[in-house]
Amino acid sequence: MTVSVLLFLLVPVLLVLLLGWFARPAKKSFHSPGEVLDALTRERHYARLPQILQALREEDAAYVRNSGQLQLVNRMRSERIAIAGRYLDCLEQEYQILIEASRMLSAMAPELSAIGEFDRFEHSLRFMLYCRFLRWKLRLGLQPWDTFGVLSDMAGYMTLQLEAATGRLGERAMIGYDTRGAGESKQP
Amino acid sequence: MADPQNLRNVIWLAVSVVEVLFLVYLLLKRVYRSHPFFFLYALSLVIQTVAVAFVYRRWGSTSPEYQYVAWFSQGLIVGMRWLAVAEIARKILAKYVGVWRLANFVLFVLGLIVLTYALVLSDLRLYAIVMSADRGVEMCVAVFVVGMFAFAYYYRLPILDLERQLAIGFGLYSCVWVVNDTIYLAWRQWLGPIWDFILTIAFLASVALWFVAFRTPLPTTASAPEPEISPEIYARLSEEVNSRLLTLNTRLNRLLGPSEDSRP
Repeated sequence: MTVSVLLFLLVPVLLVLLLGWFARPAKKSFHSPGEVLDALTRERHYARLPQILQALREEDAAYVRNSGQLQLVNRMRSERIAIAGRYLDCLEQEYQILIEASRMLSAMAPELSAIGEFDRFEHSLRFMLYCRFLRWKLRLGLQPWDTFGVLSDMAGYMTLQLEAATGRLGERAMIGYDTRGAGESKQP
Repeated sequence: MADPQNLRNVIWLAVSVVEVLFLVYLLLKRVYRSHPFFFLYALSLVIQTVAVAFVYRRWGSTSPEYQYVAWFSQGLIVGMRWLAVAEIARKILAKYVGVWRLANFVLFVLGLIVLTYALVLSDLRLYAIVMSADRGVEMCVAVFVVGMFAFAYYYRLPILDLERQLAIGFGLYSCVWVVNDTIYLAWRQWLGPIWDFILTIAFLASVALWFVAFRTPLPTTASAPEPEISPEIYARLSEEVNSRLLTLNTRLNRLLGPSEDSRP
């Protein structure tokens, strides 16, 4: 069996699997812009992050370690990992909401940039992979701060993308509003 | 043991009956109004069967007339299938102007790449060239259908069950077609006249799926209204999205704090 024959047999199988995956009804988080708005304005429990971060500071552990309480240091470390893990969950949820919101805005936009959309897709994948990576780093007791920094950059990128998308949408909405307004004013 | 040629004739007859029944069913359901290209596809299947049967009886399966009619009509069928698939894609995506434009561009480029790839990998000797081209086009159809679903899934676009089942039928059938052609080109000496048995089964399965799809009443409106948001909602949405992102960003930046005390 040659490589080309194998490819022509495997690619259709792969396509059938992809077909089965993508043909499922998509889980729609939001059905209207109002729901997006509601989700974005809802208070999240990770709003108390500044206090949690304060508790995660290295100096606290160093002080306890210097005082010779090793058992307490170990307990603090495991609690820190649990806190960072929970924060990561919240971060993923928050990012997911942003992604869903941006998808909804894209679906309503009159024009999409192929490069822009691909960039966002790529960033979403990277974000997901970084989250996995970060989780493993936390489990292995490694310093995760650099990876959190990368995630922060990605969230910043998302901000710019959404600003551009909402800007385009706003222009469109205003044009539509003006057109409708002009149409209505002509009616007797 | 049954003679393979007789078995082939029986299958051919069964498929022909199913095609005619399906066409009548579509006529009764008045599918030509809502899905004209799909209806034309079903009609072209019946016309092809009649034309090929006529030429087969008159000149036999080894005659050049039979080969010409069989392959020419196959070209038309593939063309009609493309139109029917494009019609479904339009029904699913065209309400979303931006997504539709992007999908058009991406799926066209993707189709072109797949076709080129399929032809480059193919056996381009004279006896195999038509079948290789046919396989390439079918792979294009399958990739197009999967790509269309991927777009709809990614942007969370709603799909009616009718359109979903029609597209799944086309996708599966095209995938099986590619496998079938590959099997034929690689092992035709071993398979003899029953080589397209898998394809026949796939075709009957697709038609069964389409029968089920059209059992539900057809949508009365041509399409759902395009989603819109008012300037007021937009202004609030935009403000909230941006402030939310800004908050997230600030909090993420603060996370870098433990090792950098100078960071605000």
